Amino acid sequence: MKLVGKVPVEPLDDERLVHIERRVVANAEVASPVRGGWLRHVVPLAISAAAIAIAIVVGWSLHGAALDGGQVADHTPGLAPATGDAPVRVHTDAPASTSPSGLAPLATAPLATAPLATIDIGDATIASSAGTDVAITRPDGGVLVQMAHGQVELQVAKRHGRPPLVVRAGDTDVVVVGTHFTVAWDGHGPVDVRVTEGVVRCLHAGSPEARVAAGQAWRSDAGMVALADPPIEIDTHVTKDLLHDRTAAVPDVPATASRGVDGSAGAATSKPTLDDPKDPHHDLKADIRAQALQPAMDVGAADPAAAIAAYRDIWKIKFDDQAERALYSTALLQAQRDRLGDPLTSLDLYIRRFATKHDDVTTAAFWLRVRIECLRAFDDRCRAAATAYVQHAGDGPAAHVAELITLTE
Amino acid sequence: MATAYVEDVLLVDRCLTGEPAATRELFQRHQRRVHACLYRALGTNRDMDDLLQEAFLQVFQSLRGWRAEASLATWIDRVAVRVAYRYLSQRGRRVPTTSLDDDSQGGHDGPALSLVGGSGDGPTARRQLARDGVRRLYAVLDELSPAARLAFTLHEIDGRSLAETAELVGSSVTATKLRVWRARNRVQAAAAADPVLAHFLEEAP
Repeated sequence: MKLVGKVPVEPLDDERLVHIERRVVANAEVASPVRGGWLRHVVPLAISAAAIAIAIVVGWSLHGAALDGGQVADHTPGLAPATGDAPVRVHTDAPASTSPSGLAPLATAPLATAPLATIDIGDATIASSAGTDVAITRPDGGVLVQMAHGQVELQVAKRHGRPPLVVRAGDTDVVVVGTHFTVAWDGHGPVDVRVTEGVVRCLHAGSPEARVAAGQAWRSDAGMVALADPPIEIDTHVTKDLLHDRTAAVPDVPATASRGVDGSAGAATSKPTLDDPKDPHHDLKADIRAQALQPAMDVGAADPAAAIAAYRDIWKIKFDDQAERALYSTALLQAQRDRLGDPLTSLDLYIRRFATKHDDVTTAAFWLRVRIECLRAFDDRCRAAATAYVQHAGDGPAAHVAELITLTE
Repeated sequence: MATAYVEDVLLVDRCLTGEPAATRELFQRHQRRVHACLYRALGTNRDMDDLLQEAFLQVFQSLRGWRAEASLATWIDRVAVRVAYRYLSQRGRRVPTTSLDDDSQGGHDGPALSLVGGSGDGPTARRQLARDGVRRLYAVLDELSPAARLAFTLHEIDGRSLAETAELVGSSVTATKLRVWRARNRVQAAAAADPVLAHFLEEAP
């Protein structure tokens, strides 16, 4: 039976094609994360609509506050999550009762005043105090909380590979992948960041990046400032050993209750089942761990965060072998250290750029994905990663392990 | 290959930044192949506007998930096949292949032209006969399950390898091979009772 070429495709006429193209382009732009040309005209209208909606909701909340003697419900039901490009604006007109320097004790880092509005956008809850003006958007799949002034308290769910949530206050960006913290800014003075859970990165124009951990505080004019409470005890367990890579390219820093690439963890987040001998895949996991990982590129950085920043400077502007190694190294360090970013996202980016290179770094990158996915769970994602590795690497001990992984159920 | 790959990566990056021109370019670069893939799977342009739109909207919605483990074209084809599968599943097994018999005045069951005699010898008559053969082929495919139909059309009509077909339909090579084999048996059984279809299958392309 030879049918190839025997069924001629009846072409669509140009008019239909143009019509389809228009519909696709128009609707695809709606789904895309960044503003397009025509959106510049639509966004102001959307902002206006959102502002009216928020004004109604906030007004309703304030009305409720008055009825409750000032105690406002901490949740605004029915508020649409911030999606697309139209920002959700939260503006509470009540005068701010405190400045950043007058924040509450750091032990709990609550809002200086009772929250006047709380917005649940699905992956984060954002409470704002009196005198706060913020706009919330979702650029590139992340969340951007743009502060004009005031104070916000955020509870952010783990991002699981999605772009981070960023609070922008003037020249300061507070980047978070899953934590609980407050940001206060009066609109012109220093920005005050206090973290109660997790770690955030504070990026301020003209200053080095600062990692602010639970129990710590940071100010844009003074950097790290005195603590009211000691930070959560740091787990000095170094996850490098669990990775079996021989040398780290950058000096180690203590991992704060970190989860390594193999899912091993400090006391706070340990997952003992991963190393449980009763686990039916225990031997296979041991085989996975036994495979060497290609070490990260040495850029002479002081710590992994600085190394990742240096790597980013390389792969952002280059497309060559050095950029390839920098992107792989980023994923590796992220896998070794928690809270430095999601290694799978970096690997996605790596594979998107360099998967067809078929060199040792590409092989290492494919294997790193296998390692991350399969030490977490022998699921479809793990098997897909293993299949991709086998197809890419072809042969060798790691390929044999990957083949065994593809046969798991 | 490498150049095309880099072009794909750069184009996807531009699409991800929301550049409308990039969206248009990606559509224009792949629409012909996606249309051909959908057409050969369905045998008709009926509902093609909606299907093409649906396929490309899904492509753009999922573009961030493209990891370049497969080529962009293969990845887009996979999305198109999924759209076709859903369409076939929702519509039931029977997809009216009206566009294929636009020029045929005959009914579905009767041969458009006689296989013997002078009327079947000219190029016009041969085209008509081929068109009728295609129509009858798709009438048989209408009786298959969506998965079997897609496996058969991708492998036998589109000329893709079994491995590629399996990848596109999201199934194992063994299962795909079995589906193709069963579908082929079904078509051959129908051809045994239908000289027009038999002639179409035997004729060189």
